Amino acid sequence: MNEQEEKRQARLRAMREADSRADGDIGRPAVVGAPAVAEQERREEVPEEVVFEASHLNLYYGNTQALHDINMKIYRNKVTAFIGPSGCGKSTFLRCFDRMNDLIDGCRVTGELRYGGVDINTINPILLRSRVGMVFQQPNPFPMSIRDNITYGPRCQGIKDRKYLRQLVVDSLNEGALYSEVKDRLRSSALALSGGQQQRLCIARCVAMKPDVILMDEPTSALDPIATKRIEELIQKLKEKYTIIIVTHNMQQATRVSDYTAFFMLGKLVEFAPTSEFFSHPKEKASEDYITGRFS
Amino acid sequence: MNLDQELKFIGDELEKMFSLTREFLRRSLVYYLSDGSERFDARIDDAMVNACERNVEAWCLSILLREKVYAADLRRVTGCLKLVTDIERIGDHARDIKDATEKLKSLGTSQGLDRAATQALVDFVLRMYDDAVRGFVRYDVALAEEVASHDNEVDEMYEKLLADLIAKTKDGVVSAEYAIYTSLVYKYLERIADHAVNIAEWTVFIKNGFHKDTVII
Repeated sequence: MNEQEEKRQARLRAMREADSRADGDIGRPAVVGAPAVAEQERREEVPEEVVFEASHLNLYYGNTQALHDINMKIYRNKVTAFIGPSGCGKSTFLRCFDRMNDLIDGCRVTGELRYGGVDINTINPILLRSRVGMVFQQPNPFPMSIRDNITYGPRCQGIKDRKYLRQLVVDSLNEGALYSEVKDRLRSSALALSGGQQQRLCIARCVAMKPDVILMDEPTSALDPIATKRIEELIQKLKEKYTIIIVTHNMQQATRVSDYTAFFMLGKLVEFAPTSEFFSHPKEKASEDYITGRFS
Repeated sequence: MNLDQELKFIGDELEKMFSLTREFLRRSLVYYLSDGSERFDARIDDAMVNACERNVEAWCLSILLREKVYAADLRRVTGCLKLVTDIERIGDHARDIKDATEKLKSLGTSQGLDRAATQALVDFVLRMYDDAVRGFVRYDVALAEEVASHDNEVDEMYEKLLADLIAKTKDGVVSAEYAIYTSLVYKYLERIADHAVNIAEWTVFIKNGFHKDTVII
């Protein structure tokens, strides 16, 4: 930490102390007893729950190492954005969370990635993928009706209760902010929807599996600004229930939707920080060069 | 022009504006301290300062429109956009001092007033302005913070001068009309010091994101 940063941190601490004294200073009556305890609890920062934790994670495609010694935590009900230049390993790392890399020949992972404290390699991949859903860059609805897109996953899991499935369709489409637009044509082909609607359907299809974590790989890069805005608003709503990891090339999108940002370069995690801090005071020169467009 | 060149251009334009304002202020103060006996060199006026301000504002807004500015770049563009207003206001006050001096000239001389204390305030304010500019040009946070710390000293000097002026007005040493215009000049000097402090505070912001001990970004 350089002198400038130390000074900044010291001033931040002083401001926080001053802030904690502010009530008394402005002459409000002192809060005592149980309300004081409640007040104190309200002010105390709630420790963030770790959902995923990567420790010394390396990934190889054959002899080529794509990820180098990644150490990172993903926090519950937060949106974490992965940014970095093309080929830096952010999508590769994203695919580690639901073991999609297992499907690639010659791909080898060393180190550890823990989900809820359990090594993901010890979890049945089918079960893991039902807890960790994924939304891709290109909207990819199944060539079937809107309703069947939503019920496909649960049916594959053996759920046949028609009443439950009917309600699931409504709830999931509501969560995907799509229900009001398609409620009169649930039996129509999903392929007839617009690109933005198809992507929201994919999100609804994902939440129908009642996941814990949603992975999004550039979910808006194929969409227009209006559809993008709707998806971003949806992400803000979804994070109340789900933990979201999003890969994006759009840095303004990262600043708008994410709580944490991880910057990757050449397969290495260069910096991981709260988004507001990362985009205003990046600690690493490589991060600053990238976000300010001086990256070469 | 790429972003670096544009930022350099804004910096150059601000330095030009600093120089113009400083010279305009110096000429106004020489004119005032000589009771209007020295000829006022009118080759610099606030229209020139205003033109620079428009230029800086236009470039800053244009960058915000076109580029994705983050981190130090964002602080630099927004900081410049804020402090350019302070420089322009100093230019306005330089013109105000010149106008007030013309009124005072028509009312007689400053006989009986504490000219040494006035000169001391003028010197102090000019030094603050120079240091604020130096702090900005070098992004020198220590110097900028030093400028900001002088705010109270200027206020004290201003209060003393005002008290002296009131006393001498009551004693009939200076006329009420003369006292009013003189108090305006004192106020302009005090305001110029405030703007110098603002420039210094925005310099600190540009460097580390703090403004008056508050994190803006």
